[in-house]
Amino acid sequence: MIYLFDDKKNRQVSYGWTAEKFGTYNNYVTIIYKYDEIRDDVSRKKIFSPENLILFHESFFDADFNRHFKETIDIRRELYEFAQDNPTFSIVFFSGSKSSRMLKKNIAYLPVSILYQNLEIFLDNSINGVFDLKYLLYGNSPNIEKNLVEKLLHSNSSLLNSHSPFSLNDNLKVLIATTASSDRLPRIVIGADYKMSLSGERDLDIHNLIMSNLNDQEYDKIFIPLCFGYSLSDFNGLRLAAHIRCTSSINQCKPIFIYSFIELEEIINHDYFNVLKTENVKLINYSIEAFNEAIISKSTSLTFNQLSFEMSKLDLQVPKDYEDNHSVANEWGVYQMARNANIDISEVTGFDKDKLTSIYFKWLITKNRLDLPISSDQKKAQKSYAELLPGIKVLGKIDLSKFTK
Amino acid sequence: MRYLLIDDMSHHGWKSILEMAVIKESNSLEVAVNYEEALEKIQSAWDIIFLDMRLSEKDFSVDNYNSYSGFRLLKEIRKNFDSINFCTPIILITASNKIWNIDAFQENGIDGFYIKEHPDYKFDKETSRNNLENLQNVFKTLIINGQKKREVWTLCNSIIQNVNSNAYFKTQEKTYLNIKNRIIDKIKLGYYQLFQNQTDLEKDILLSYNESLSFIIFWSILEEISKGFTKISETWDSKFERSLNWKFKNGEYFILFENNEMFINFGKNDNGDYIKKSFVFSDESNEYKKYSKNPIINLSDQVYSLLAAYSKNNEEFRQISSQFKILNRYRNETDFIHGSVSNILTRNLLTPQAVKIAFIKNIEFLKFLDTVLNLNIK
Repeated sequence: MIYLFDDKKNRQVSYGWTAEKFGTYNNYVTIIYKYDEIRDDVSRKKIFSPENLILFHESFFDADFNRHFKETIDIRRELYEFAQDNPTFSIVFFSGSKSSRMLKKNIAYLPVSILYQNLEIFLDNSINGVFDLKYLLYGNSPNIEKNLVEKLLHSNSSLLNSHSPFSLNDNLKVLIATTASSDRLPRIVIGADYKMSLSGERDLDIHNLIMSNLNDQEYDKIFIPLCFGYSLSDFNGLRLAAHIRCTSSINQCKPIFIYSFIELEEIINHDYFNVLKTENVKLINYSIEAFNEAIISKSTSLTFNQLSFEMSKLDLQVPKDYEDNHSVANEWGVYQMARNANIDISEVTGFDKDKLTSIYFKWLITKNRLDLPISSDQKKAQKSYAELLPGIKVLGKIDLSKFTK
Repeated sequence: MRYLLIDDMSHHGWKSILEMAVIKESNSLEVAVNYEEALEKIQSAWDIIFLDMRLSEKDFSVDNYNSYSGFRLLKEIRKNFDSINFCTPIILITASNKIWNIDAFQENGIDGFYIKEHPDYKFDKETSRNNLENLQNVFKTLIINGQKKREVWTLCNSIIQNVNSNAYFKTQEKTYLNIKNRIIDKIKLGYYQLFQNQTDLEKDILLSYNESLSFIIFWSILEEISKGFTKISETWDSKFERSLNWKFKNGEYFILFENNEMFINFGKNDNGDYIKKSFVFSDESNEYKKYSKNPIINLSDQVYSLLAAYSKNNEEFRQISSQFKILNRYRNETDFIHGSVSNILTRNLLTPQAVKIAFIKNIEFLKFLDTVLNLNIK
């Protein structure tokens, strides 16, 4: 049996999963909207039985009507540990804040959009006796990852067999970001900085990696892989390029080259494809010639005015976690109020600081030049307001005698 | 000051940022995160309520604003004039930019609104700044207006309660029930007039003058009170023609024809005897005509006599009638009644000072009405 934990019916409907559609899978899927539905021991025993699968929205217990005495993070950890100890039981964690897919035996992580997009394919296969979480992660291409890994290995060996590595001109500073995997790009450019060891796909991981690797040395050119992370087919390099552009660092505006062993048409529908339409971001082949050509090509850094304009081409959509308790839209409202009131956002209680590292948030800030402080005139107005207000408050009940005087 | 934020996102930054950016006071904002909790919290009085339009997932699946939790709460808060937060200013805080939704909330009693900035809306820096500054200005204004409203509303409510509990109006007699309803209606109308929203156009060009007009409405309640304290069956006939006598319900007279003489009751002397103006019957003097033949008798005379008839003693009468005298003088000089010569010759119709004074006179008058309704009627 499959148990789907999602507190938001509207979210399901927005992905095409109406009550009617779920009705066709009645015998296979039980949907849990409220904690109350499973409070009793019998229900829980039934759910945590071998061969079962839980599809669990990470914010399920954040909803006010689902408040649990345990912290949400502890509940998720316990679910994870239960699945680890019971290999025939599977768990899939999904949420709007996830931007990539990961499958480790019977435990998977994926974005909410992917879950609902592939749920039908997964269920149909399960009903036909093929229970494979890869259908949930990769839809009709369950073997895409296997194929991409093969392609990568082949590309690496061709690369080494084609030409010898070449050296950089002394004056050039080049960063070549590689993956943490053993199948990473071989060292084909002598004198370049090979850094970053990309592995984490979360926005927070990528943000931290940029902060720790792109703030000390100023580079003339930056090379990043198109494919890294657990799922090569997430093409995280496009998102990484957007992150570099939207993260304040000395390399924020430097030319970026994304090296790829797959063809352009395979990524054309990617959410971050438009980053390739921006100035100074280019997709290059997985070959020594392409690297050499990119290194000797003439390219200069963007100005900050150009950056703002170029980032508007990216046209990212509001993440589909809009109804989660930590929705970007709501956090954005808080952020904007704090900014306009000249208040440090880190002082605002309840604001999810991690949102500041999300690409969507960073993109909005970069595109709208909100990294700049508010004007001195606005600061003055805010100061006056703050000074005036306590005066009003101490008035208390209006003293009418003041008026008669 | 007590502020309430009704928003399912209260704990996700909104409580904190409103305290820091708008209220400028930490831990000043209480919260309710769902409909049920809010319903409980609005049973006590607040100085300002920040209200979110939609509080639950269900609110996102309904098409009509009528079903939004925020709208249902607004209706509950503004349900009756005596609802505890009827006079509390409400600021709608919403992520919706649908003007027809905001309109519906305005129609039903919100005092201001703030649109939470959503990435989908094109807020340039200037708009974004104005959005916050507008909220701050609304808040600042509503703190003052809210205090004024609560003071007036409390007095109005006290008057309504006094009317409802007054033995003269606890009756099945239609005439007295009608009088009671008119008093209550005029109280509400006067409150509305005093606090109705004024646009800049109305204030600057059309010289809207709420305070003075509300005073006139409140003042007119004295007509109802005078009749309510009068024994109607012995004073008017079925065609509303007044008999020569005017008798109060406690047996005292305002006008009495006796032994060919007319007595007008305007109080008692220190010995406890009535100070009566008396006229010989069929006297053709103007004063005689005023009380005997003219169907309209000065309201102020009715009130003085009522005070005289119902005061416990001279001291009480002197005290209340001197309050009335001051108010009556103000009323006579009000530009929309008579206007004093000095006003007409020297002053503009509308001045900030006149507005302030008119507001205070409204309060003083409501207190006076409350006192009259508390007079001993046994």
